[in-house]
Amino acid sequence: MIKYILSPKGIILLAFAGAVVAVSVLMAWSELGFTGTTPDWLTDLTSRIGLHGAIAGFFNSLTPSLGEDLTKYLQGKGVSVNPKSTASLGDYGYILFMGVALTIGGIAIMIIGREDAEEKTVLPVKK
Amino acid sequence: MQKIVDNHPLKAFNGLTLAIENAINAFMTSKYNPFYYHGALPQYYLWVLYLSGLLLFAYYIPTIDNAYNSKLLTNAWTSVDYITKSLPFGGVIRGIHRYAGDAMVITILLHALRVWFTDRYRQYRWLQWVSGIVLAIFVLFIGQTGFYLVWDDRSLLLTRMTASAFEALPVIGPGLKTWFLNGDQITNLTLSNFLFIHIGLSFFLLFGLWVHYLRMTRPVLTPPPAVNYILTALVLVCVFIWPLSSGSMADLNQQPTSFDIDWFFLFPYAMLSQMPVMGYWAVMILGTVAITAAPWLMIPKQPAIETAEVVLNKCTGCSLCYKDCPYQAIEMVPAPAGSRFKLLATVKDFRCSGCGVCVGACAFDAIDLPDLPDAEVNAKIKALLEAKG
Repeated sequence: MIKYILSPKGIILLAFAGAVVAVSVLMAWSELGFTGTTPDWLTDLTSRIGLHGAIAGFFNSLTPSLGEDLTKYLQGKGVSVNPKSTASLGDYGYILFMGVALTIGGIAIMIIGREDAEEKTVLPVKK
Repeated sequence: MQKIVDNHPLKAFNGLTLAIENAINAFMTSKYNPFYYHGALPQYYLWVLYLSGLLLFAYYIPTIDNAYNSKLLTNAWTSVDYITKSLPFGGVIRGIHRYAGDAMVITILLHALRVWFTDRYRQYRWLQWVSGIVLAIFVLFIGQTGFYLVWDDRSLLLTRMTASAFEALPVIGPGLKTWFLNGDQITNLTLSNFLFIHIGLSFFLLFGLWVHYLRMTRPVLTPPPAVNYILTALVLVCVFIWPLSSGSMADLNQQPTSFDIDWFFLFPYAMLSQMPVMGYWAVMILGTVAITAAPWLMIPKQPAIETAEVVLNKCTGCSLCYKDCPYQAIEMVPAPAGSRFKLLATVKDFRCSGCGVCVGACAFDAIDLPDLPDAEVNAKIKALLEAKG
């Protein structure tokens, strides 16, 4: 197992897996509408495992840069939401990060599965 | 079959597509090469459209007026506005529905071009070509009704343009207009009709696909998951980059004069706005007839095909040739009395292209092409494999 992980294929696998997880984390953050305020379930969960400050700090640190940029872009494209609704600009961010995660995942599978994908032509044995 | 390709006037294009195919193979191997799933790509987007459409249908109200005096959902435009701005992920799902439709048109076009340039649209494939043309026309019309359903100023203009174009047709014109509007003028029943056409014809596509797959051996219906991820991701990223919005609510007392055009679905309206209506119909009808008739118009002169022949005393009824034949030209029938085997392969001459696949598949030298002996076929295959390395 360790030998596999340390092989070039294993390292590629870990790098892509890490990228997918990192982008997927941003999907949860997008659900907040880029405000950076962590939701109750996440606050509760992270406090139980002692990482509340780190995770909340990570989310909140994204707001002044990435969150505001994404909001500005979407509003510039005419996206608006009803203030009384449960929809948010973060819906679009969620989809963006899901799309990026799927792209990374798809490319990773193509790279990792490359060897298995080689076609092998077998001629029938004439009897 | 190879002779036909060699003589094809578009051979250079065929070479270009094969070169692109080889380049992609070098990059991502044949397993993930979308060229080998080009027929399955539009079908994948069809499933995306069904699912996203189901979610939109749950909140869509097919009426055009405010007569119900409700502060909530009162007509088509406000229900679409509610979906887009108030429903959690509603705007996103609407965007997915729209861009999956655009992606379906693009992949259908790529599929058609690929089939055309690789010369797989005629003779034994005429049924796939003709049913594909019918499916493509239905997809376009279904997509256009989707634009009517939003019921903004663009929808109103498109509806009026379509009704006028139908009405201009001789004999059947007035009837078509009445069918399209579900009456003599635009009413709530008109949008009910649009919704019925949009959803009803979508399910008709399944029947059309069934016909499309007839006479195809083991059609590839689904791309591998990794390709599906990328196909989905393309739509999702488009939803973010070009988020959807509606125009202003349609007003029957106004006549909109221009609109943003979606070139994938609404290009016929761009043509209609630039030419006399009868000229438009002449171009559309003659163009469709010409494309549909292509399998018969493009047949080059060639010698008669020598169809495969089964060597009766060698056939074991193993079905290998039956499973491998791309044209379903081989039928397994009960073996004659006295045979050691249960089944016997027989060739349907009218479907056989003389391609030699069955000869290569048979492990018992039990099927031959009169002009191409079994040994010669195997020698050719081995030579190709050795050349490939």
